[in-house]
Amino acid sequence: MRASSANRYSAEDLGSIKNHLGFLSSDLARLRPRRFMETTGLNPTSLSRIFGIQRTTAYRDEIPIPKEIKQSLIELVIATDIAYGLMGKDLAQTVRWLMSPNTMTFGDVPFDVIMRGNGKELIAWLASRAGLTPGAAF
Amino acid sequence: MGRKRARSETAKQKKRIRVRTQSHRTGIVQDHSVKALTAIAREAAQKQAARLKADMVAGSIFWKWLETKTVTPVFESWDKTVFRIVYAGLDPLSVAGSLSAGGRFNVGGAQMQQHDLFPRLTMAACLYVASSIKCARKEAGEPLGNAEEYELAPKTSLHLWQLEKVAVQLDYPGLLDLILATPMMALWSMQKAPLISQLLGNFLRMNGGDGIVFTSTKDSSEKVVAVFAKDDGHAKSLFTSKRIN
Repeated sequence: MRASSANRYSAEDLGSIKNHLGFLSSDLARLRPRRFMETTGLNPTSLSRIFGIQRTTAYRDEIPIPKEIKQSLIELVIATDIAYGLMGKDLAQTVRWLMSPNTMTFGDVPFDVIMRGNGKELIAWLASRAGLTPGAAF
Repeated sequence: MGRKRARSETAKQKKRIRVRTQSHRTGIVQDHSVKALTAIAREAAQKQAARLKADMVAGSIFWKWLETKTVTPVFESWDKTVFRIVYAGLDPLSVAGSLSAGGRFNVGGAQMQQHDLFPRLTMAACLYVASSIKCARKEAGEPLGNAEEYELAPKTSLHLWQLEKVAVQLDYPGLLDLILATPMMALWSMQKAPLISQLLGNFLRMNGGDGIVFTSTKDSSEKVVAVFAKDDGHAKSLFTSKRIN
């Protein structure tokens, strides 16, 4: 969304999360488990394991973001936002990249890399690849 | 009495962190922990730690073996133009990222945490370039988006170790395969133990030469060069750069 003419920048211009994959609610304050399942192909059981929520909760449209995963989830959204842009706004490709073993991460799945706490490194690499920060492509 | 209460507390705690679910369709009952995310994160971290430990063991064995070896120079003189691709205005002769994160043939700051296991190992940078722009694009992985392409002309002839000949000379089991299996482009800052290819690069650097030349795994008709550069100033003393795209 563009800022009003009085302002030079919008929140997104200054780095606000775009949430292209819709993992979070529009106010970015709540997790959308159903959307998460539809997008990633995870089933309620897997999702309940990953997010530490009850299986029945996974069917809800929106839930409060569990405290334990807040940081990882934000890094996940930032990483997928950049990856989505890099992959020509192709949702299937973005999800495939997120959930498949990757040579760039020495065989680890990007989702796991983020969950174990290496999200910042992954975001830095994606940001460079997207031309947002200086870096070597080769 | 105290022990009984403690046991009951533990049981309560266990109950609190377990969630039992039953599938409506199959009737299968499964137990999940509401602390599962922590467990998954821990599992992923353990997996990475196990891999790093294996890398550390393999690396320290190789490094000890390498220290007993001498290598006869098998250099190729190189004065051809090479190519590099960067993003967002990065100086094409900058090696700062390589120095901090590491690369296929150089040990960066990220791999120096356990340096006591690797005596004489030093942190150093490499400038990775390709013999053609086509090869550089393949190595980087297309599409490249807003990439900036540069050609780099050597100011003097470079003496480069020929990797394939070095591997034959050293005769370490599966050495060339181990090296070529190491990714060129990767998140090196995550790799906290030096890999065999990096140790070999360090060893060759100690024995002279300006870099290593090897056949590209992405384009077998082209070469990739890892130029030993001390810092940006040194890289600038070796090449002149010109933007081509």
